[in-house]
Amino acid sequence: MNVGLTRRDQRKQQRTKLLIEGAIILALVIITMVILPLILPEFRLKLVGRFLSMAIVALGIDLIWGYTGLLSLGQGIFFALGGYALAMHLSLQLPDGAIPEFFMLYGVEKLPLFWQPFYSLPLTLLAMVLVPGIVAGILGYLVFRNRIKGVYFSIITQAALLVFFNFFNGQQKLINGTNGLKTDTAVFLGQRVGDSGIQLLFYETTIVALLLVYLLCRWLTSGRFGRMLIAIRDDETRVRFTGYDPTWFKVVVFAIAGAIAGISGALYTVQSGIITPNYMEVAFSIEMVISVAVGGRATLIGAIIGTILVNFARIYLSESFPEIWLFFQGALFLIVVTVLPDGIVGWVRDVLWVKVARLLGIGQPVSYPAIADDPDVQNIQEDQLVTKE
Amino acid sequence: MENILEIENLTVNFDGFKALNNLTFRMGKGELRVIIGPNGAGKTTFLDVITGKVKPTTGKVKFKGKTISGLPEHKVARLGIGRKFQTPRVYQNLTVRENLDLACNRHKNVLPTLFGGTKATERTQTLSLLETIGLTEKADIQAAWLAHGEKQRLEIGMLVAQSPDLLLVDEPVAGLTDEETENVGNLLLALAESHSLIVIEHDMEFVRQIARQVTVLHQGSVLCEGNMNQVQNDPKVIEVYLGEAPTVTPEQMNLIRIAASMAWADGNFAPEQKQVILSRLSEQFTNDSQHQAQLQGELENYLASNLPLEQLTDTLTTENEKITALKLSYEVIRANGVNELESIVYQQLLGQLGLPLEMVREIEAEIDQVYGG
Repeated sequence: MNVGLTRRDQRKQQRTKLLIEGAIILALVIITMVILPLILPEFRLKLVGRFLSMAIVALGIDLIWGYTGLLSLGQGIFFALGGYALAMHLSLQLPDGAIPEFFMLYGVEKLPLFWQPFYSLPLTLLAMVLVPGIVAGILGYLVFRNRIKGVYFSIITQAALLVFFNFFNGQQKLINGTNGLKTDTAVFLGQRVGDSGIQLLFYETTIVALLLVYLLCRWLTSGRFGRMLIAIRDDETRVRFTGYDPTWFKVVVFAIAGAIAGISGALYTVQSGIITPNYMEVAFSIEMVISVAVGGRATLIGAIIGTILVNFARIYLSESFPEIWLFFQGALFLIVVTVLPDGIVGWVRDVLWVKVARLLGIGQPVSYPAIADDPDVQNIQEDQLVTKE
Repeated sequence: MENILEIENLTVNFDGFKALNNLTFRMGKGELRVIIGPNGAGKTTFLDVITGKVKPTTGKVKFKGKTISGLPEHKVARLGIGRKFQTPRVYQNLTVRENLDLACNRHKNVLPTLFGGTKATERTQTLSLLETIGLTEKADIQAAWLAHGEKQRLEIGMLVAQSPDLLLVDEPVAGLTDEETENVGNLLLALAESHSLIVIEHDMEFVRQIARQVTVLHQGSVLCEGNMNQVQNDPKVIEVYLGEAPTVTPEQMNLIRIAASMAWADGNFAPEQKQVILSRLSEQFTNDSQHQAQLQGELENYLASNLPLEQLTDTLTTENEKITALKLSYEVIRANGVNELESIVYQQLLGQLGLPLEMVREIEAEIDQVYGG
């Protein structure tokens, strides 16, 4: 047996793979951070920034749906909570004693208590991550403790989304209801948020955030914890009878995905110039999920690629044929479900790569060992030899 | 002997339907217990209650002296009860090694799983388990690629990785070939040397292979307990399985079975042989002709099973019983002419009965006359 040898080989292979992955990531980071700002006009760069911030929420969805099998149709809640947190901070960049203008319209003269912490930038950044994370954790705990899963979980998350949507729409006196909060005109670091200097800062921050979230997800999914998530998706009953309590694993991963959505929502908000309760529309949350499906579930890179592709398609189509986008979205979903169940990355990995590798004669696809190597078969062959003799 | 599992007056009520009804059960440490029972007897609910999947309405389950009823599944599992499901349940998208690695993790809360890597002891345990279940070559293959029997072995390996004290196994041989069945039987017997084991099974042939002590469940209660032979000849058990109470005594039942195994000796149960058994026995057991007709119908049910001869002859005690058995057996094989296989089995029977030779010859001659030998 050459188990020791193969294990060393495996480690070596793994290290090479990690190096290649690191090099690709580094190249992409340099391209997006340095080269794109030089060649793209300001308006296009802003679009790329928004898409990349959407890719962050997609990573979270991939974590809970692709790996753990929890299809949440309510990520818009956490996305918007993060966005509101940052928008509230920006709305408070006012002369001493002044409160945001919209309060006057509704006759509110004193700043509501829950706005107070948002004067401070560090507290805002903390709230941007913790509020959506904790809300997701509580919602998750209530649902998972009662062993609600599958399509019932999806329905509950969507219902929760509607509850938040209606609540935010109705609260003029608290957060300006339907009109939302504008961030473009606020002053941040001595400049207007809508100005190109600040926008470039947000763009670069988005890339750093995307990189960090990617690394976090990569770490979460690579070790025992990641295998546990897959185990929960494959057979939760077996997980229970093996001595694990899946409830807490699901709560933790759902809370992490919520926090990630919060970061994503905040970066998206400042690059869009406004946040309204429309960020919690049903269709928007479903679009996030479709992006992940298009890219390929349970492949982190797929979530990013899918989001960018779907968003570019949307921009292109709604610029040229404004009415066609929703049909296209539906068609995209059907295609992915029926033809590409593993998404683009899954197709490249399982179909295209195998073909290319065969053409080039490199790399052996991982598969069942050759029949002749099977110890059972070898035993049988030996037995036959013995009987012949 | 110390009891590993004690269940007292356990009732499980599903909206008025009592899946388990005032059930009391005890099992010693290191015991291998087989549980049988007709469909709907409550066998699976019984396992569900022990493992915490179903909460009992009343009653208690004690494991190693500690009350475990009411605990959730994962806590029961951590105390040392492992459960094997009927269909193999493994994590399809993980490799064989990863499957075992998750099972042998000693600290199963979220944080240790997230921050603590696989320890060296756990790694060696995984390697030796791979060897035991014979999947070393396939360690880095996704479990989805394994054959049915290999998945069964992997799941048993995962159970052992949990280091349980008590293993619960639900119908392990359903859908397996005869050869695989025997392999699983041997694996379970090997496990029984270091674990306590409860096996639920339908396949009586398999039960006979592994069973030492059998518990029969019926309508949510224990119907009877004992070794295989006692259980099979228990009139209550026969009633439950065949739908009506036997009017024959256990001794008479034994006689029927000996005669049946004679008839089965050549692998062919001829109609003449059946006729002989049915008419002779019904004459012997009762004088009432109406009862005789009824008995013939009943006896026909019992003839279908073919049991090992030694088990049956062991239960014959008096000389009279032995003579009756001999008479009947000889007549059965004479009925359609003695062939080679039948005479071999017949010689075995003679050896086991140990009757004096003259007496045997006398009886044979008597019967030969009838058949014009």
